[in-house]
Amino acid sequence: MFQKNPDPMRMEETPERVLSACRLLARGSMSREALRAAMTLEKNGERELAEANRVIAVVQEELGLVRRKNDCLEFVGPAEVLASPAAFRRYVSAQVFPREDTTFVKFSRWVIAKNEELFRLGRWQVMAETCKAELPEMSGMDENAALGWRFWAAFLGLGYLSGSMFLPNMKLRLQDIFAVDYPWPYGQAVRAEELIPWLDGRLPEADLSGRLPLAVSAGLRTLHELGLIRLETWRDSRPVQLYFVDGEQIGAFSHITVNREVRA
Amino acid sequence: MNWERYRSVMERDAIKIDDMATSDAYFFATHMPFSQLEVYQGGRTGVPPRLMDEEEVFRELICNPEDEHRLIIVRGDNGTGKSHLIRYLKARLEHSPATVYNPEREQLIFLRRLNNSVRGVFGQLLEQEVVRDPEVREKLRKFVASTGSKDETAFQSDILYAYIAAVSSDRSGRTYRAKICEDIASYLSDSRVRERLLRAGGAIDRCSQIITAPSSQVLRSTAVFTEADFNDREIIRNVFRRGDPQAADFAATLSDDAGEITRLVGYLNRFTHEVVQRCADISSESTKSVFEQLRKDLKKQGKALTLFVEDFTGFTGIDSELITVLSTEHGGDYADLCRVTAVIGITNDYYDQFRDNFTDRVTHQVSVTDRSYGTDDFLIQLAGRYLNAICCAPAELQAWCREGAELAALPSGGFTPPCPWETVEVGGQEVPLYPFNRRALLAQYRSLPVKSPRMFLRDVLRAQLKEYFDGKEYGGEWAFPLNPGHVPMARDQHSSAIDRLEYLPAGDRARLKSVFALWADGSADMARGSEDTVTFGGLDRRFLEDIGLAAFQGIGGDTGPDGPAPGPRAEPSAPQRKPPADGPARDYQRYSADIADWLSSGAELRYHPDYRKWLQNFLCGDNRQCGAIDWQDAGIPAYIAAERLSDAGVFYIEGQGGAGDAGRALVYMDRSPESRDALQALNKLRYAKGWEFEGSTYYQQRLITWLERNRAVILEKVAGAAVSQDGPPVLEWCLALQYLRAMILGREVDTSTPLKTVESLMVPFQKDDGMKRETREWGELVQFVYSRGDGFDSALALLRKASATMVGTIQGAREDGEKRLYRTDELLDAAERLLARDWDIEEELPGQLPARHMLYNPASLLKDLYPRIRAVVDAERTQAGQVIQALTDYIGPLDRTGLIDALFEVRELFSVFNMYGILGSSELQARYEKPPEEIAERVLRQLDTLKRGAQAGGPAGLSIYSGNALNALSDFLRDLQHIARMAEREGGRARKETEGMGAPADLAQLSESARAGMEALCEQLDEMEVRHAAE
Repeated sequence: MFQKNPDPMRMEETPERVLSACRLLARGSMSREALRAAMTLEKNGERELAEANRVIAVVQEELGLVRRKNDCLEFVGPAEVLASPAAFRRYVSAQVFPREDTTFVKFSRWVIAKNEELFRLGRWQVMAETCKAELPEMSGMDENAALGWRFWAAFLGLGYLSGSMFLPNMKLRLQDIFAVDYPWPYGQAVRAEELIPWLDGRLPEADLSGRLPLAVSAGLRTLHELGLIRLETWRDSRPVQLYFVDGEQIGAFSHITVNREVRA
Repeated sequence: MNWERYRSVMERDAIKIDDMATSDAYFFATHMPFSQLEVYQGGRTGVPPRLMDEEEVFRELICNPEDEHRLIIVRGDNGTGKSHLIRYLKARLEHSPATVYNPEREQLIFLRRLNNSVRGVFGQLLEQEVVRDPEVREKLRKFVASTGSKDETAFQSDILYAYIAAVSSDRSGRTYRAKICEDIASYLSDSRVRERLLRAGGAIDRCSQIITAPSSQVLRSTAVFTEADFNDREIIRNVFRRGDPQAADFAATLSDDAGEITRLVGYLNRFTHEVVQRCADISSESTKSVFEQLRKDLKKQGKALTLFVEDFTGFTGIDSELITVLSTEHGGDYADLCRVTAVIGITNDYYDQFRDNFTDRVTHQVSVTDRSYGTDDFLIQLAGRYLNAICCAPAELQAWCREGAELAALPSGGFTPPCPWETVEVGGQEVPLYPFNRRALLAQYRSLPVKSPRMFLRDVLRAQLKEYFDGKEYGGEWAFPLNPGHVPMARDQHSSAIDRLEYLPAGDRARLKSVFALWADGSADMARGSEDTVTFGGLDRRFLEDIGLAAFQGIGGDTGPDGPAPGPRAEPSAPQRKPPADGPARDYQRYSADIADWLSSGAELRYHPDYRKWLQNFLCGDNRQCGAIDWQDAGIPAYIAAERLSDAGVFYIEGQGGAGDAGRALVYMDRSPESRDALQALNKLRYAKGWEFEGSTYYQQRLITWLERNRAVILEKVAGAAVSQDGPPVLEWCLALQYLRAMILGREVDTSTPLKTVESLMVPFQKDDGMKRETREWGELVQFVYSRGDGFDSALALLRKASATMVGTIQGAREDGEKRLYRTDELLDAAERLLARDWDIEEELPGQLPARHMLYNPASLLKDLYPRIRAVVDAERTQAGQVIQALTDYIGPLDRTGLIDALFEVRELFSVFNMYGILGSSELQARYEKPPEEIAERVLRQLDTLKRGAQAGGPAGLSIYSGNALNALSDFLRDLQHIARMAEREGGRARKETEGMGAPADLAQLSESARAGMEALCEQLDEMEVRHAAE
């Protein structure tokens, strides 16, 4: 799922399964076979084994949460990342997004850059085909890869699934970033000019150089409406333009105040 | 500005509800020429009409130099302007030169709608000296005078009895047989029925209006009786039970057949003509003679007759007589009659009702349709003329009228709007449409439920201007503009955005939306024009300021010093789904209006079942696609989410009509702008079949914000007992149930590791009645497990499905297919906790459990099960103690040595039996052929098990007793008892034989030895039995 491009990004290695496998190994190291047997409850069909293997590959090779020691797999990540799906999500985000050479991040960037053009594509197959056509390096993209990507994209907070469509809205992703390593005091207004470069380093999947993309803008607007952050435009300040949404009151902001509640 | 004067002029002079009462000045100042009038020859409409304007109608039909007989009816629906046209034609004729209209040769009679009743008509005939016969004149004068002063109650009774008399004497048999007519008369005479008919607004009241109504009332229909007069089931029932026999008979007929009321109503209405004449005391012949005499007199004077009747409705009762007289063509046999040009206004409904009276008598029909008045230019011109007239000084207007009312000389109202504004040309001058504009006028006309000039004037111009003038005069609480048609803004995301402007009062937000919906382009788009002008939706900001909406700053105002950034405007280039009147579009509009009303007027949601399905689909997905919540990744098993949300009843929307229980809702939607937008988003999504529609990003934003605001609560409610700090307790409960069932049924469970435990418990158990238990309580517990098999099976199914991972839509988790990968970590956690607690979690079960709840059913079953288990373990422990004691009694200390000694003795005994050919149970012998050491070891293990059981209670004891050691030891005891009885029996027999016959010394010795052994055993047995009896 998070391999260097090209990566088939299959569907079977879902966040649920990967977290469960990690938790199994966190109980005590075990052989690959024992882990597989545990995951499948001793059902040893080809399909079960293949799916279990793919999950183990993500855990071991892509997320670095597990290492091999004396023919056994051993959980080596911090125990607290398994405490909840949210903790796991924050950990995985920190591992996954900086690796910009992965198909996952490349496709994420492409999707986010598409903004609302995405809605014209309509189906995952068309999305994959369009991405392939527009980006030669993504020639390996196909419908299954897009279908696999969507689970992790939704889990990691890039947007929401709705029918055969992905609604870009990085509310959850931004909330995680603000919750984990926000460098300014909560409750204090910060200039957008300062925030954006800082955020840029943590959101490699989004281009923040100009008007913010729809996914980021929608995420900020949702956080604002929920009262977790406050976006304001002060006089004599340079505002950062949000993605234009007809009818939305907030089109730009020069200052942001992140409230402590964002960590909930 | 003279706001108060404007309002007064409007209400008193310009736009009176009954426009026929307007003075000539205002009539001409506001008259809007008709065009596209449909003119038919004769009384039929089979051939296409000629289209004429009002001037052509005047020239070709009203001007009558050839003295042709003409009976012209002007037809149209209520409020379309028939009266206005007739009044115009009459005025046009009056002001024509003598070559066209010479009062010396032409008698012009104008019967206005002003007195739209029989009394009013007769009054006008008297005033205009139409009635020449002194006797008739006197009779009419008496009638007009008397009905004005006659006691209303008495008059209405007269009317009712006139109907009753008419029915009673009906022998025609056309509708009812004579007998039934009498029954009906009796029914109408019943006090209950009479009271109903005589009520205010009832049938008799309506008939009274027809005869005596004052001028201010416009009668819309001449139908006196309606179904509402008889459709009172209680009255019918009472008459049936307590009424006069004849009345009761007819009441029975009415109650039996729903169509009978309709039949009765039609029947009674046939008598209206007769009743009116009777009550007005005007005979058909005398009525007829009024007009005949008039024509004859005019003929004698060398005059012709031109008669204008604005509204024929008032002639009810004398209508057919009038038509008959007017339709008689002069000349030939009727050379004594003058020529007639009659112009009669009549509604389409009336015409259709009495078509037979007209069809062959009418010479022309002029039909006023929306072709004549419904065009945009007509309406704008009409509005312009009224607005100008309202603003004109009344004295100026009167003077203009006196001077000939030439349009070109029409005075100007002189109104100056606060900003450049649309105008319309009236008589060569530009009249501002302020405070309307062209768009507003047309939009409001189109939103009228009945589209006619009268409604336009009354419900648009007059109603809005009243609010505008009041607002300007008094300020404060503005109500302008009204939006009774609830016309929504075309850009509904802007409408939603206005709802969110918390700095404006709710009333102002509603007014803004009405302005943008009706006056503007449907949006609130801000634009800057030259000279620093600002427009919103194309409307000059100064207009908003003028109507008390100066506070509005736009909906995207927070855009920084560079001004609003237009940005990459989201105008999808793909073809939009047009809203034609196809099914989906109608549905979309229906839903949209329902949702809008739900929020704006607090109405109940009419289509909430559909909306709840939409929410269900949005949150949970369908069989192919995922929903917006990634349930399994959020830690909620897919099966539990899918199952819990499978019933649309758990989705509840505040204000939903019909049944529903907000208390048991898992997804609750409040009545708020955000919820409204979320529902509208789903409506648009459904209609567009995707997210590509105008405003989709706005509605996504609103939908996701709604979701995120409610997400935590939804997850918590759906998860219920499925998720806790230590994992899903429901898995733990299911595992516990499965384990306890295994123990009760005596199945082996490998509990060597948590994983082995889980694997052992994830399989179903087949029913097996083979195992016998020593206590009644255990047997009953087994029966309990079988009788509650469904509960145990459901728990197992829940365990297997809820612990499985799910790829994709959660709906797949509900299917019964084999699951592939499990969240084994959670199962192991649960198993570990259960093992650590010896499967006893009774104390940890929730105190109060909801009934029939998939997540709590396992806990409920556990609650039922644990006390039974404890009772069983107690019984087993008691029984085990007794068995151990009995064995001790037989064997002595139940240690290895004692057991082996006893078993050797048993073997010895069997060998003696064998030696002497004593037959015993071979099965029993076979059980003790094994080495005594081996049997002793087994018994010792069983004893150990029972001793452990004596120390354990509850499920731990159950686990210990489950292997049925008690049964094994009991069997051992029973064997010993059986052997003892055999020994005693055979010992006695051997003694007898030894005593009775000489036996070899060695045999005698052996027999004695065996007998002694058996006696010893018997003694032990006796002692044991005595002790047992003592206990």
